Amino acid sequence: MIDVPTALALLQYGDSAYPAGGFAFSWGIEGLIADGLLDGRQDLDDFVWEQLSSRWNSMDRPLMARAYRAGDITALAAVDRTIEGATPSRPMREGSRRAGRALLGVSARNGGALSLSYRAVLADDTCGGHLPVAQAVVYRDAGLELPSAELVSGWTMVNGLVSAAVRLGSVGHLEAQRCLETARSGLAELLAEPVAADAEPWSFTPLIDIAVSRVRCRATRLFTT
Amino acid sequence: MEDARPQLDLVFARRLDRTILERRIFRWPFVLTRTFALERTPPCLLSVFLQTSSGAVHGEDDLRQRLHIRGGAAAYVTTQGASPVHRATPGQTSKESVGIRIEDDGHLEYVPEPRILFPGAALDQTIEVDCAPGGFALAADVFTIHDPAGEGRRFRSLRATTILRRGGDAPLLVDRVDIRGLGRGRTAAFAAFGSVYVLAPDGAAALMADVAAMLPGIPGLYGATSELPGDGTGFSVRLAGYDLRSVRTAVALTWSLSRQSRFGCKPSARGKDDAWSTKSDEDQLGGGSAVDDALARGGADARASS
Repeated sequence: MIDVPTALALLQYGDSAYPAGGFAFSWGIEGLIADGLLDGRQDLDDFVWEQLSSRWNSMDRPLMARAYRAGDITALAAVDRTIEGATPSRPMREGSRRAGRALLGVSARNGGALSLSYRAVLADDTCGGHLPVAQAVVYRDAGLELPSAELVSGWTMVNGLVSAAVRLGSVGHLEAQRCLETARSGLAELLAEPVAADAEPWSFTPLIDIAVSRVRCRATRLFTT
Repeated sequence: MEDARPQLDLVFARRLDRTILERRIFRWPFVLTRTFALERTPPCLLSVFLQTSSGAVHGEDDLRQRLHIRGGAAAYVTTQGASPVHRATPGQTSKESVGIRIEDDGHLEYVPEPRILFPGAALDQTIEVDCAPGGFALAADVFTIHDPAGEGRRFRSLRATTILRRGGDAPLLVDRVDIRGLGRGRTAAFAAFGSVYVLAPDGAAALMADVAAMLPGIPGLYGATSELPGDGTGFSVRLAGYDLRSVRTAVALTWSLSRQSRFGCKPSARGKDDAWSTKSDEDQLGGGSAVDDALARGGADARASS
């Protein structure tokens, strides 16, 4: 059972207003809409579930857990390299690094000890700073236990996808709340099953991967990914 | 005691102006008949059509292949036809692994026909490519699903891992899927999925741009290219098709453009059916192959958008 201080921390870190630049990333939602593959609430529900079940739960979550358990900076950097090498799409890699470094930057400026140390290492490492590693570092600095860190990681992803769809006019504000309710139960279902510490990361989000990779084909866009 | 040796073990080597099979070991279920020197350009390129006597992957199969391309050798390796992956009994998984090593100045185009996952199929597939920095590799991997009864029954599992190395210990890429179905919604409306991985000693960026420009010309295809991690000498092509033909056409197009980029000449007709071949497509598309058709459409689209 989550205690009140933890619940309040989750509300703070899971808030879309948390100043880590999450609003700049649509993680494929913008591309799917532009390519006619996302139109309305049912599509959004489906893509949010696909991203949750076939990427976040199978890749981001186990790698964030691995980074959370890392004993030192070298082990953290190894997780970063694993993520870099498990992501064929360059725009996806770049988006993950930008989002991760932004999150790490906020925590470091607020005095997070581990965030400060890892951020210093990243000054000389152009391939590191992926979002799951940054989340592990920042949530450890925030004093969150791993289950809470997983919860806020999953929820910020859901919130980012739905929020992007609202800003792109694919769903209205009330529909977005229904999407969030659906995603909430999906996320709860996934979190109820722990992920093995040695789980090999995988993903199968082909349309999302393609939509993100086609980002340079688009003349105008609102989001980084 | 289980025999861990690969059932197919081929070593390609250069002898004067030809590529030969320096090692040619195969046993059941693989069958290797003669090899072919089909190309005028490059004349050294050897074409190999792999066959299996079973014609399919079965539940109890544990198939292992090893391909080694020595410096100066050039090979095109494909399979005779698409391979059904049949039902595996519960608790059993069909296994297939392909280990590829390419030395500096070696050249390999590994373009097997697609896998067809039948109801109840469970496949664990690994393709591992170790390509020296001066070598060239193109590796394709495509799957589709099919229920002969038309009842929408699903495969049981697909675990497919592609590992790319550019020499050295650390992999450049570990691309893995581990699925029990095709998901739902829009994704489930697609019938075929594939990836092509290209590692080139030079010219990767220009080749990738050519492939990206042509993908929109293929009807029924959603696809994109992207640079692989690392030093910028590789890229991947991600493909989803409403039918298998569109994905096969995209693979053939990537293969054709790669050959042109490397040797200045498109591959000649293979003699195999539909998108892979330039011959039979002439009948279907009125004078041009599916690849040529896509090239023309993509080129026109690219010009229109520039």
